[in-house]
Amino acid sequence: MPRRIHTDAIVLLRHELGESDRIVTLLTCDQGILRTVAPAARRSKRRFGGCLELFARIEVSLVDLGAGKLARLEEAVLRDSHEAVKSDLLAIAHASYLTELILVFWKERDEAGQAHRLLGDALSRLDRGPMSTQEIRRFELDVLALAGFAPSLDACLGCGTNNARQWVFDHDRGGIVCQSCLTQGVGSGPRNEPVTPSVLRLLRELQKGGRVSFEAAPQTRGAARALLGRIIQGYAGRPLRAREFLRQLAGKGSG
Amino acid sequence: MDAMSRLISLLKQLPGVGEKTATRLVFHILSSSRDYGHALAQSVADVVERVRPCKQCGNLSETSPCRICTDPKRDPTVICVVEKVQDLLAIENTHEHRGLYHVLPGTLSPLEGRGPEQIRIHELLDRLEKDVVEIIVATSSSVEGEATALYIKKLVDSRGIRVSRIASGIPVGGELEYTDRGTIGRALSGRREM
Ligand SMILES: [Zn+2]
Ligand SMILES: [Zn+2]
Repeated sequence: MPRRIHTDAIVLLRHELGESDRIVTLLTCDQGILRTVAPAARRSKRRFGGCLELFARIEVSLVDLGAGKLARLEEAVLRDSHEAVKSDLLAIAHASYLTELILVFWKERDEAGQAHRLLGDALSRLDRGPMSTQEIRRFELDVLALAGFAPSLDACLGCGTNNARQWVFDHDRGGIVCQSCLTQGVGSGPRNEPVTPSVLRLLRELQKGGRVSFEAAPQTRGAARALLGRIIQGYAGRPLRAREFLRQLAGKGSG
Repeated sequence: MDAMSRLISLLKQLPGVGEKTATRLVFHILSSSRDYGHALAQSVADVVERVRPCKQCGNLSETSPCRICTDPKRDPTVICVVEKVQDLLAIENTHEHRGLYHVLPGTLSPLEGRGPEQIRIHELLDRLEKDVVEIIVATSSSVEGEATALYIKKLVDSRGIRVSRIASGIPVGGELEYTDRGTIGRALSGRREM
């Protein structure tokens, strides 16, 4: 049964379809992620203008034809094109990475109201320039938490202690295990890796929100990035493309 | 499959051609002179055999370097960067650009996994060893087109080469291929330094 919907949305992806149409993947505020077709969007600017650019916040009218079918975009009104993001290469790369994270953790039509708010706020933040590494880590942790995959970092998954000299992160169980539990065989699966106390402290503070109370050394920040990256890749089942893009940019001395 | 069905099914793979159109085209070929049919077949074979990307600029051509790269009347100090050969043709039709071209195999796209290594940007850099004074970036005004322009600007900045971007007027998110000649001409002449 076709259903007419009017909603706010953020453009996550666009693909060409045939000669003149576009497939536009939207993160709506109340209908989850929807794949839509925008008829004649490539040839004519009359109907959609510049509304269907990546990261744009738009108000849309669409006809939902049901699960598994492309919804049909009828009308779009631009609310925020995030022009400033588009004028900074690193900000574009960051916006792309955050967008890909949303696409990894939310499937079509999953409830995603909070993800819509989270990404919307982050894109507005990126209008002021690229994010710091801490801001990116915090977004990753927020996404994991919203999706129900928050890494368990407060206490050992085996014995519950929060005070140990050595920790490992057990990817299969999604949390930390202390050294003494590990020697007893808890969390000794193939997918675990040591976590230093400083990395753990940084991630715990980031996870709680608010300011980080200490200046983390570059290697601590690097290790935290790598650990979160492997956690995310574990859930995604593949390396994230925008992350590889960021790596290539960094390799060329651009961030 | 008989010859007619086979041709119909091959034609159907062309953009914008469905079963009906493909069938109509086949009937048209059959009702035309035999010479026409042979010439059409030969012409398709020639295109497939002879047309290659130009080693220097990426334009499609029967010679490499292509006709544009070897034209002594063109200005080798100005290179216009486009994201596909169709855009090169669209710009050529305006007669506004007298320099050379560089056709990238697409734009940078973090979400599609196309980074600097995938769009062979170093090939453009190699060309800058000669006395290039200006690069006109004529990629589309999409996020990906802007990202590509920003990246080129970043790479070239230290070399004292002017990098300019075609002026707006090309609709936001619009494609050169579908933009009229006058608009492209104005966008080129109104380009601004990045
Ligand atoms: Zn324990
Ligand atoms: Zn050439």
